[in-house]
Amino acid sequence: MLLKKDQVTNWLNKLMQTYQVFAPEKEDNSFYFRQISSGDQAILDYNNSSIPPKEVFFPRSEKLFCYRTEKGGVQLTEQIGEEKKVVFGIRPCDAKSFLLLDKVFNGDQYVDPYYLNKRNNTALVGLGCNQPAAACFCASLGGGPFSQEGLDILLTDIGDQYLVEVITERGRELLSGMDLPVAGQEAQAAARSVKEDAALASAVDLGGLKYRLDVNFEDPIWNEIAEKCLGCAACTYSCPTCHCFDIVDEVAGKEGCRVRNWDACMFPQFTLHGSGHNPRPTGKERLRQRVMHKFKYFVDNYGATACVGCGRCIANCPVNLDIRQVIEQIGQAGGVQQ
Amino acid sequence: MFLKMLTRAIQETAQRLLQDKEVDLVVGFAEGSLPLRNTPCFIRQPEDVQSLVWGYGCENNLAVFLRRRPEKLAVVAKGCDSRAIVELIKQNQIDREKLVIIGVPCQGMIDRNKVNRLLAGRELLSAQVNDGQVQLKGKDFLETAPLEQLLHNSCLTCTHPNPALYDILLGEPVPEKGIGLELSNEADYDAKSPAEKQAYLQNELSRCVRCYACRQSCPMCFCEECFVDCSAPEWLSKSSLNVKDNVFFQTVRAYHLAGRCVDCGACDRACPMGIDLRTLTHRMAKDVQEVFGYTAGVSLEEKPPLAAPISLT
Amino acid sequence: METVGVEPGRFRLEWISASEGDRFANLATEFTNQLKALGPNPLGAEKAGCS
Repeated sequence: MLLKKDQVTNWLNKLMQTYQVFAPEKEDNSFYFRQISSGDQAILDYNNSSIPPKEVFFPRSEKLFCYRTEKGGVQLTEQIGEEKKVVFGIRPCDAKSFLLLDKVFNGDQYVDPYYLNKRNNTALVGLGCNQPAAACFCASLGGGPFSQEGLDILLTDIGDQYLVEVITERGRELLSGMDLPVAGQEAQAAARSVKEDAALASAVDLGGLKYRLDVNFEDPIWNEIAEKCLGCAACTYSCPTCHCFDIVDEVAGKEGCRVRNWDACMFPQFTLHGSGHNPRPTGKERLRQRVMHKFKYFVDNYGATACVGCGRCIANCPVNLDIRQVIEQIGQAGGVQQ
Repeated sequence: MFLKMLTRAIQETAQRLLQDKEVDLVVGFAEGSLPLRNTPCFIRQPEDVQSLVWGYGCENNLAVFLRRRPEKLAVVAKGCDSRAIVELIKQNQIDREKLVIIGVPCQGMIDRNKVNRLLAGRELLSAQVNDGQVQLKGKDFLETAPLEQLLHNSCLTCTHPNPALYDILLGEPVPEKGIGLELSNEADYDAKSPAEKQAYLQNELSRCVRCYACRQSCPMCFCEECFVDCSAPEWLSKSSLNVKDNVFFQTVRAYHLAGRCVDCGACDRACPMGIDLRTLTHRMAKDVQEVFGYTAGVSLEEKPPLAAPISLT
Repeated sequence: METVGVEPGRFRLEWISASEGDRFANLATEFTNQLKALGPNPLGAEKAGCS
């Protein structure tokens, strides 16, 4: 099907009658996925958002429940939302990240209702990447600029309109009432050409990486890799697949809330025990853990690499610590038998 | 081109220092993995000095890597780095005897946020600086802008571009821009009412995700337990959606830095969300100057104002 | 504090001797009323709660 670009606002406004719609909005020079209140607020002419759209399912700060103590006892109010949502204009890498987050939040042993309720009620309309950015390496992680993995609809920009590929039933539902024309041969050829031309400038060689990580825990290469890391959480909070969190109670007198906040293994207190012992005492242990989590432990536990090659960590790191270079360094260091 | 000359000078100096075993480690900058970026670099072997370069992305304050180090080391220091080093020596975080400062007079570093704004969404693939002009190349474009237009605000208002303390000086001293330079928005900001100031700060800090890149990149933030991480008492909420607490975080951080902050702007540059942090830090440094007559980082002998009896002059 | 947008009326420096109990009490009352008139401190966090 085909959707003319000037029809997008119309579609979004229509969707907003039934769904909460999240789309890229521009602030200063960066983009953020925010809930729009009108179709024309969405900006699809963008590279990628500063902070990944995982915020829609896994907000930076989320009230789990609130309570108030009163004469009769305690009144609890749970905060699980059931509104239907659409995330519009999401990139294939970010869509894939949700499949990875699902493994954590919807696993055999642990099912997270706060995440899942939003996830199950949300449709994803993807926008393929005609011009992948220089630091994008999604293909090395099994993704691609026009990958349909995890999406309900994929839009391909072919000039003044989009080729619309419906991937799931839910995607089909989103288009009800739009009566979009079928895509002719010309449009389909244009889309094919756009997809072929979308070349990724960057790639990493993951071959042998997992094997090396299985054996190089004690390798001095980690000292080198971690030396310039400042120990902030810029990479973690920019990452679509990072999912660590901290739960705190915020109390004011007789009422309060239990809140879940993003946390980062890069922080020194992340593994600080009550006794004062810290099994990851320096930045080296913490950086090693982050890299291992993504490229080894997640593979061990869930059979997938917890990275989608979006390149945000590379762009946002204050010291330009580049995960692609880290992977290369580990490869070149060989492996040290423990 | 002066960058090539400086790069060579840094490499030669580092090689000599390592070969003569004057130091065990040289901390400098290497080529970054994205255009206009450099990255901190730690060299221990004379044959590795080729990695050291100088460029317009050498914006980190390397003093942050020098605290409490056991070995003898050398550091490539801009004006701001050297001032931070002076303060850290006074606060017993650096042993002067074990540090060789390779001073580099600095003409300023390029702000990639300004570059991004200029390119309005087009991706930068490579850049070159010649004769005060920056050439920005992308897939289908070539833009040129004067270097002055793209430098960090902290560099444009830098009052000490030449290293205050050094053992070796590479390159020619840069003309000082004079004292008391105002931030471009300072007059406007000062004229605001308290409510307007709060509104401005809350607007900026609404983007804060509490990644603490500001704190981690600051040479002066070295408390074993930062007040933000203290949970008993919980001085402020951990939630980044609590904007007032984000403002509170930066306010208290500025207070904790009073008399120690050298206004290098590393915090401002490190912030991945592009938040204006210098309104507070620059202001604090200025207030300290006005109240105590003390400028941090320029004199090893001058005692920090909050550590010494005040003489009312 | 001015830079952060805290109103000047919220900060006060007084010299009071231990023997000036009356003066201290009066100042405290006066300052409390002054603060009440200014309203909640802009730096104060939002109260946690069900809102």
